Amino acid sequence: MVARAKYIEKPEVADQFKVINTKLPGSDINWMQQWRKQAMEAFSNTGIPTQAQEEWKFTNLKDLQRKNFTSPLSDIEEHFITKDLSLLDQLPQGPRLVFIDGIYQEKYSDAVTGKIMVYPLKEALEKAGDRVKQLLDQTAQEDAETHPFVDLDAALMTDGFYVHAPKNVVADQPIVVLYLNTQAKAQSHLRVLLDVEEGADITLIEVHKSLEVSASFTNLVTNTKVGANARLRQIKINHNTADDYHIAMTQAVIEKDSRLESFNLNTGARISRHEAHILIQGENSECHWNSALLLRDQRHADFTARVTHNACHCLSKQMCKTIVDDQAKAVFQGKTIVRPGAQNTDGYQLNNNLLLSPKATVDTKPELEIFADDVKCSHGATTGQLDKDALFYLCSRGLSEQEARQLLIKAFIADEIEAVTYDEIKPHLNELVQEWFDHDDNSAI
Amino acid sequence: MLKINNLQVKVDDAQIIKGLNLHVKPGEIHAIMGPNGSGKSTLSYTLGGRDGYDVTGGDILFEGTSILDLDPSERAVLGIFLGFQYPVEIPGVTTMTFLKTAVNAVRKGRGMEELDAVNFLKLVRQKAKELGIEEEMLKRSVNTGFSGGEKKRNEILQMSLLEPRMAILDETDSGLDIDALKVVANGVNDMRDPDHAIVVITHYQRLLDYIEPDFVHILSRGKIVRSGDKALAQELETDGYDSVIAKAA
Amino acid sequence: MSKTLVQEQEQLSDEAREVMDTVDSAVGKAYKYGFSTDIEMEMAPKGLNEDIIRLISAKKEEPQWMLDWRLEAYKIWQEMEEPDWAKVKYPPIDYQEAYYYAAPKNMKEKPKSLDEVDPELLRTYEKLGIPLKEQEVLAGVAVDAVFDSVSVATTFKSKLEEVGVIFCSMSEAIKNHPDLVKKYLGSVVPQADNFFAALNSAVFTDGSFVYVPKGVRCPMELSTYFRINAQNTGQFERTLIIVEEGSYVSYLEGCTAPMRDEHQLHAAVVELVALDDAEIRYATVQNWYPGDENGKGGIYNFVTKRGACRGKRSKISWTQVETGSAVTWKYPSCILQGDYSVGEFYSVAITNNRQQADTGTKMIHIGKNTSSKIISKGISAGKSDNTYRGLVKILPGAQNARNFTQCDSMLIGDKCGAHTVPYITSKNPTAVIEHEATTSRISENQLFYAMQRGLSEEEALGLIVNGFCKQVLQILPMEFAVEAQKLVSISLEGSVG
Repeated sequence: MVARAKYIEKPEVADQFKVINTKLPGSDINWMQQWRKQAMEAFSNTGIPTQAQEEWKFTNLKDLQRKNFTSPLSDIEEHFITKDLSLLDQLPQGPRLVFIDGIYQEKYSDAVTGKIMVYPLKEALEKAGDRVKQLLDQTAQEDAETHPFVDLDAALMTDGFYVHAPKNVVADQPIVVLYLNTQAKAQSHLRVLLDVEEGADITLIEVHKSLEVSASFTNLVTNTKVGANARLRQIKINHNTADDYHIAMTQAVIEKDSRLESFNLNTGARISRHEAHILIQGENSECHWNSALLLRDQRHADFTARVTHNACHCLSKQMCKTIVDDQAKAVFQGKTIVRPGAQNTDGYQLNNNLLLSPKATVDTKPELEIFADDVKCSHGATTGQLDKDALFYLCSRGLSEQEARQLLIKAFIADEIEAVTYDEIKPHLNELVQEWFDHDDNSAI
Repeated sequence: MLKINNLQVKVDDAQIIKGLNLHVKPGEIHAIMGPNGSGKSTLSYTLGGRDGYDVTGGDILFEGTSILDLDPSERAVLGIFLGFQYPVEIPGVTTMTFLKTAVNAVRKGRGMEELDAVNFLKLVRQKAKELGIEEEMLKRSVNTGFSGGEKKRNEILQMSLLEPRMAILDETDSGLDIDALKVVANGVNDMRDPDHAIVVITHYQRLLDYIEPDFVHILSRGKIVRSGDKALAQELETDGYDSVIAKAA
Repeated sequence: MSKTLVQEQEQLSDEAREVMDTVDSAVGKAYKYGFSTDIEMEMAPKGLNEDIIRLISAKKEEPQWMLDWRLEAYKIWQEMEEPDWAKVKYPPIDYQEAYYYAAPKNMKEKPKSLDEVDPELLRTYEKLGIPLKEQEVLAGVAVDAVFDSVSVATTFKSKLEEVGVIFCSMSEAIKNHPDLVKKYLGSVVPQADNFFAALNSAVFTDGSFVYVPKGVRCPMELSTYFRINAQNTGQFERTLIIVEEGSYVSYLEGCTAPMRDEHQLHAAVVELVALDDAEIRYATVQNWYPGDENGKGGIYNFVTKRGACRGKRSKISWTQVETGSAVTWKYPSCILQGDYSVGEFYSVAITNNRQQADTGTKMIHIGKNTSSKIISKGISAGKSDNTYRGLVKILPGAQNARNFTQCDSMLIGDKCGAHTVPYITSKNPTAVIEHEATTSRISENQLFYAMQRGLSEEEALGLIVNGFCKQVLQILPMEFAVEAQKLVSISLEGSVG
C-alpha cells in the first residue's frame, strides 16, 4: 500500500522566487539572502501539506495548492478606496501601519513613535539588521518539524514590520496595523517581528480586512520575543472573505516573569489558520493564547497552538470558543508540553463549541504531553447545541426565538471577550460580534 | 530590628548563604537585589524558618533575640511577614477563612482579642478595596485560579491584615504590569513608619522607582557584596549585574 | 467526669478551634479510647462449629426458624472460599481461633432503665464520650449501646413507640416482631451473597432493628455505638432497617474499640429497605483501632452494607467517615429498583501509618429515571494505602439513568498511595454518567505558607484537610459532623514531615 503523500509540490513558487528575489527586502544583505535561499530550498523539498500529516489532519489545503496566485510584487490595480481605511477610526488611537496586498503604504501610515521603534521591514533591516537577525535566530523553534508555510514566508516575504520596545518602556498607546486585501488572485507573504525587551509593555492590534472581491492568499509569520518582566498584548481581528486563504504562524519565546496575552476574533475564510508555537523559557511567566471563532456558510477556521513549558511556575492558557453555523467547520488543536523539570506548571486548555446547524462540524484535539510530576494540567472540550430549556425560558419571558438565540449565543462568547486584558478594545470587539449576528438577521432559525 | 550576623545556610547539602550580614533598623526600607541563584529566596525562606534550610553558622536576631529556634508560626506572631515569591495554593480553603484564621491566630499569640466575624469582614473589605481586590476573589480557594498579579496582591492584602513589624517581600514585583506594581508599592509605602521595617527582595530595578529604599544591597553567591543607596540601583540598571558585582570583588 | 462530647460541641464556634481542641485533648499519638473494661465476660468456647451456633441461638432464646436460618447460612459458608480481590493485604484469619460470643455476666437480665445498668459499664460509656444521661439532654437522640454482643440499654423507646417506630436490638426484634424480621431479613443481602455475609448470617450476635411505619417521619436521629472488647471476639452485627411508604429515618452508627495486639474481625451486615417515597439516611463515623505505627494490632473491618430502593421515588443515602481499622473492606451499595429512586454515597476515608483501605460503593440502576451520586474523598498519609473502588451499573431497563461520581484523593507525604478503580458498565444508551477524579498532595509548601501566616502545624493541617472533606462532612447530622471533624484531625496527627 502506498503511503499517502505528506506534501504536494508547488513548483511554480520556485520560479516566482527566481524572478523576484533580487527585489525583495534585504536582497543586499548577505545573511538575509542566504536565509531566503535555504528557505526556498526547504519549501521546494516539501510543498503544501496534505491531510496525511498529523498537524494538518483536519484542514484540507487542496484548493490552496491548486490555485494559481499572481507573483508577489506584481503590479496590481488599485481596487480600494479611502473609505476602506475608515476602519482605523474605530480603533483606539496610536501609531499605525497600513499594508495593502502585502505592501507597506507609507502615505496611509503614521509610524511616528517615541521611545518605541516601529519600522516597516526594509527600514528595519537597514537600521536594526543585527537585532532582526538575533530575533529570528532566537525564536526559530527547536522542534525538528518542518513548517512549509514558514519556509515559504521566509523565502518570499515582501514586507512586514519590526517593533522594538526598549528596556522598561511602557507604551501609552497601542500599535495599530491594518492589512487590506483587495485582489482576487494576490498572494502576500508578510513577516512581523516583535522585540520586547526587559520590563517593557506594549499592545499590538492587527486587523485583516478583505474587500468583497478578495480571494487572496495571506501568509503571515510573526517572530516574538518577550523579555524578562515584560508584557505583550496582542489583539488580532480577521474579516476575510469566504474565498480568502489566511495562514498565520507565531513563533514566540517568552522569558521569566513575562506575559504574552493574545486574542484572535476570527470570522473564518476559505481556509484560515491561526497557529502558534510558544516556548516558555523562564520562571513565573504567563502565556494566554485565546480565540473566538464565528463561522457560517462554508467557512473554515483552524486554531492550532503548541505551548512548551521549559521552566517552573509558569501558567499557560489556550482558550478557544467557536460558534459554527450552516456548513462551516472549526478545528481546535491545542497542545501543552511540559518538559522534565518544569515543575509547578499550570497548563490549561479549553475548547467550547456551539453548533447551530446539523451540517456544522467541529474537530477538536486537545493534547497534553507531560514530563514533570508536580504540575496542574487540564484540557476540556465540549461540543453542543443551544440549550432548549434555556431558549424556551427566554421565549416564555417575551423574547422572540431569534432574540433568544442571539442572547444565548452572545452569552456563550461573552466571557471570552471579557477575558481580553486590554479593556480599550472590548467595545469594538463586542460591536463586531453584534455585526456578525446582525448579518444573519434574515436567515431561518 | 533585624540583625543578621555572618549567616551561613545549607540547603540539601549545598551551601547557599555564605556569610551574610545585614542590619535593618526600624523605619527603614532595604532593597536586596541579585541575579538568579544568588540566594535571594534562600534568605527569605531562612528568615521565615522553613524546614530544610539549615543554619550552619551565624545568627538572626529580631529585636535583640535570636529567632533560630522558633518555628514559622512563632516568628509570625513576633511580627515577621514573608511575602512569597510563589504564593501557595490551598484548594478547599477559602481565602476569607484562611485570612480570618491567620489574623486571629496571630492576634491570639500576641495576647490580643480575636476579631469577631462582623468586624473582620469590615476590615477585609476595606483593605481589599484599597488594593483593587474584588470581593468575589475572597470567596475562592486560597490562590487557586489566581493570576500571577492577583496572587501578589493577595500577599499584600495578607500583609496589611496581619500587621507585622517587619515584612520581607520576595520578588513581589516580578511579572506585574505597571498598574499592579503601583498597587503593591502603595501597600508597602503605607507600612513605612518609624515602628516598621521592610526588606524588599527584587531582581528588577523598576520597583524602586515607586518604593524609595534607604539602602540597596547587592547579593551575589550567598553574600552581600556591595551596599549603597538608590544610586547603586541606578548603576545596576545601567551597567548590569555582572559589571557591578565584578567591581565589588 | 471528663468533658463530654456535648459540652465540647456547645463551646465550639470556630472551625479551626474545633480542630485545635481535639488535638489538645488527644494525648500525643496514644489512641484516646485505648482501654478495656474489667468486667467479667461470659464467653463461649473458642472456634466455630454447629454447636457454637446452637449455643448462641439458645443464649439469645431465639425461635427455631432463626436457628434454622443460621445453620443454613453456616452450611453455605463452609462451601465458600474467602475472597481475595481487594487491594488489601492481611495475614490469614484463623476462624477457629476466635470466640464468637461474649457478653458481660451482669447482662443476664436486661435492665429496664438506665438505673439498672452496671455502673462499671456506664462508666465505660462515659469514657467513650457517649454518656447516655447526656444524650438525653441532647435534643432527643436515642441510643442503642451495644456492649460487645449484647444490647445494654435502649433509651427513648417510649417516645418512638408513640409514633409507631420500632427501634430495638436485633435479638429483641426476632422475639417480638418475627413477622417483620422473617419478611425482610436476608432479602437485601442473602446468606449466600458473599463469604463474610454468610459468616455473619450464621453467627451474628446482635445489631439494630428499625421499622418506620407508613407516613411517619422519625422524630429523632437514631444512633448506635459499638465497641469490641474481649480479646479475639469478632463482632458480627446484623442491622435491618425498614422504612415504609412516605416515611423517613436518619440513622447513625459510630464505633470505637480498645487496643489489642490480635487483629479483631468485624464482619457486619446492614440491610436497608425503602418503599415508595421513603427515605433512609445512614451515617457511619468509624473509629476502630487502626493498629500502631507499624501496623500491629487493629481491627479488620469487612462489612456488607446494602440498601434496596424498592419503592418509587425512594431514596437511600450512605454517609461515612472512616478513620480507624487496620484493614477496611466495605462497599455500601444501593439497588435502585423503584422508578425515580435515588442513591447517594458520601465518604471520607482516611488512612495513616500502615492502614489499608479498599472501599467504595456500588450503584445498581434497575428502574427508570433513577439517579445516583457518589462523592468520595480519600486521604492517605504515612505509609498507608487507600483505594476507592466504585461500580456504577446500568441495567438494560434503566431508562434515563443518571450518575455523577466525584472521587478526590489527597496524599500527605510521599510514602502513601491512593488508587482509584471506577467501573462503569452501562447497558442502556440513554444513561448519562459523569465522572471526575482529582489527586492532590498536601505539600510542605502549603504547611509552611499557612504557618508563616501564624497558624500552628496542627491548625494548618486541620484547615487544609477539613477544606478537602467539607463537601462530605456537611452532609452528616450536625452533632456528628463535629465529632467527625475531630476524628479527621486525630487520625492525621504526625502524618507530615
